[in-house]
Amino acid sequence: MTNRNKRSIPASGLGWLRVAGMVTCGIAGVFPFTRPLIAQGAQSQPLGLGQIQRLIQLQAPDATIAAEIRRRGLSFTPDRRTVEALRGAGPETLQAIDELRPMLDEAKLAIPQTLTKIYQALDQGNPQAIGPFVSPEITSRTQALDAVCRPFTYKAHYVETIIERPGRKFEARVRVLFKPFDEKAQVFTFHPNRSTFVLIQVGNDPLTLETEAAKEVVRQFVFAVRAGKWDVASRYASPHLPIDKMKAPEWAQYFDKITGAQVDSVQIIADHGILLLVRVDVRSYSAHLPDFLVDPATGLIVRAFFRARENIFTKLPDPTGFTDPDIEASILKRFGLVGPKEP
Amino acid sequence: MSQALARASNNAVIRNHYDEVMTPIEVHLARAQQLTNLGHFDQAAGECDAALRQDSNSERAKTMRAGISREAAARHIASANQLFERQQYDPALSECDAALRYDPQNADAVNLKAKIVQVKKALGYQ
Repeated sequence: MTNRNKRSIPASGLGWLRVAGMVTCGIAGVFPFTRPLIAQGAQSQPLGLGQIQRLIQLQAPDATIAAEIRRRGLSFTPDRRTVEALRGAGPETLQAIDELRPMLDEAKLAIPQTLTKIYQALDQGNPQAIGPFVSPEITSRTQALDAVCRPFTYKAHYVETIIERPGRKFEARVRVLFKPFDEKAQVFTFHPNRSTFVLIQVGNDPLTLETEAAKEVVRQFVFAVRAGKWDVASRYASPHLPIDKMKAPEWAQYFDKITGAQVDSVQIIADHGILLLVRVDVRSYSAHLPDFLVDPATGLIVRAFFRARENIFTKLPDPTGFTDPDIEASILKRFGLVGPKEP
Repeated sequence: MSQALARASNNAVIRNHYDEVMTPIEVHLARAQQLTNLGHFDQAAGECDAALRQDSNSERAKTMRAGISREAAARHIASANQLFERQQYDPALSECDAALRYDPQNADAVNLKAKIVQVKKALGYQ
C-alpha cells in the first residue's frame, strides 16, 4: 500500500473544526437547568445601586444583571436619573430597572395630554396622527377608532382618575361628551413605551363603585322622604331637585305606605348624560316600583319617583315624578362648558 | 469504544475501509476527527495520544491533539458563558475548570472564571 492510495486526513484541523461547528451534540445546550442554581442560604435581598454599578464595571452579561434585578428587585426607588448613574449598562439591564420605576405620577401627567391629542386627531378625521399614541390593533380598525371618537362629534372630555394596574398598565377613566349631547364613560388602558404612553385598549366604564353608592343613596333618600326628614333627603338630591313639591299631602299619603326600600335593579343609561337608573321595591307598592336617576359623577339624585317609559303616578300631582331641571347644565358644567344657575 | 463509535457515527463501513487502506496512525487520527465532531473530546484526545504512541514525532497528531484541546476548551467556555447568562454560576465555573483542564493557559477561561467569581461576590452569593 502506497501513500498515494491512502485517504488523506487534513492536517490543519480546519476541516474537522468546520464539521464540529455543525454538530449539535456538543457541550453547550445540554444542561437541563431552567432556573438559577444558587447556593443554599444565598442572598436574595434586593440589589442596591452600588451592586449594579459593580456588576456593570465587572462587565457581567447584560442578561445576567437584568435577570438578577427582576428576580431580586431593587433596594432603591429608580427614577430617570438612575439611568445616568448606570453608564455602560446594557439595554436589558436598563429595561429591567425601568420596569421597576414608579410611573404613576408620570402617567398622570402624560396620559391626559395624549388623550387630548387622540380626541383632536380623531375628531378631525385624521387617525394617522394618533399612530405614536395608539396601538396598531386599534388604529387598524374603524370600529375601534369610532369607539373612541367618531369624526366631527367631539365636544369635550375630562379624566376622572388614572391608576396603575398589574403588568405595567395604566387605566384612565374618562368622561367624554359628544355632539349633540351624548356622554360616554370610558376606560382607556395605556402601556408605557419608551417616553410615551400607548393606548392599547378601550372599554366602557362599568361604574361599579358609583353603582353601589347610588343604591345606598337612593335607599337613604327613600327612608328620609318616608320619615319627612327633608334636610336629610336634600343631602342625597341634586341642588335643583324640587324636594318641596314632595311635601304635597297626596305624596305624603304615598310615602306613608312605603314599608321598605330594596333596590331592584340598576342600569347605566345615556340620556343627555351618563346616569344610573335605580329601580326600588318599596314593598307596599311592589307593582309600581319607582325609578330614580343618580348622576354617577356627583352621586346625587337628579330625578326621583318616576317610572321610566311609563306613567304610574297618575293620581298624584306630579305624575312624572320630580326632576332636576338643570341636569344638562350640570353635565355641561362638569365638562367646563356651561354652568347651571345657582340654587 | 470502536463499537460505540460505529453506532454513534453510523459509519462502520467507512471505518472498516479506513482500517484497510490507512496506516494505524491515520486510523487513530480519523477516529479522533470523528469523535471530535461528535463532541467526544476526551476520546478524541485519546486517539491522538494513541497515534503519538505509534509515532511520537507525528506533526499531524500533535497538531490535531492541540486543536482538539482548543476546540474542547472553546466549547466549555461557550457553555460557561451561556450558563453565566442564565445565572448558573457554579455550573459555569465548572465549565471554566473543564476548559482549563484541556487548555490550562486559556486566557478566556481564566478571565471568565475570575469574572464569574467576582460577580458572585458582588451579588452576595459567596
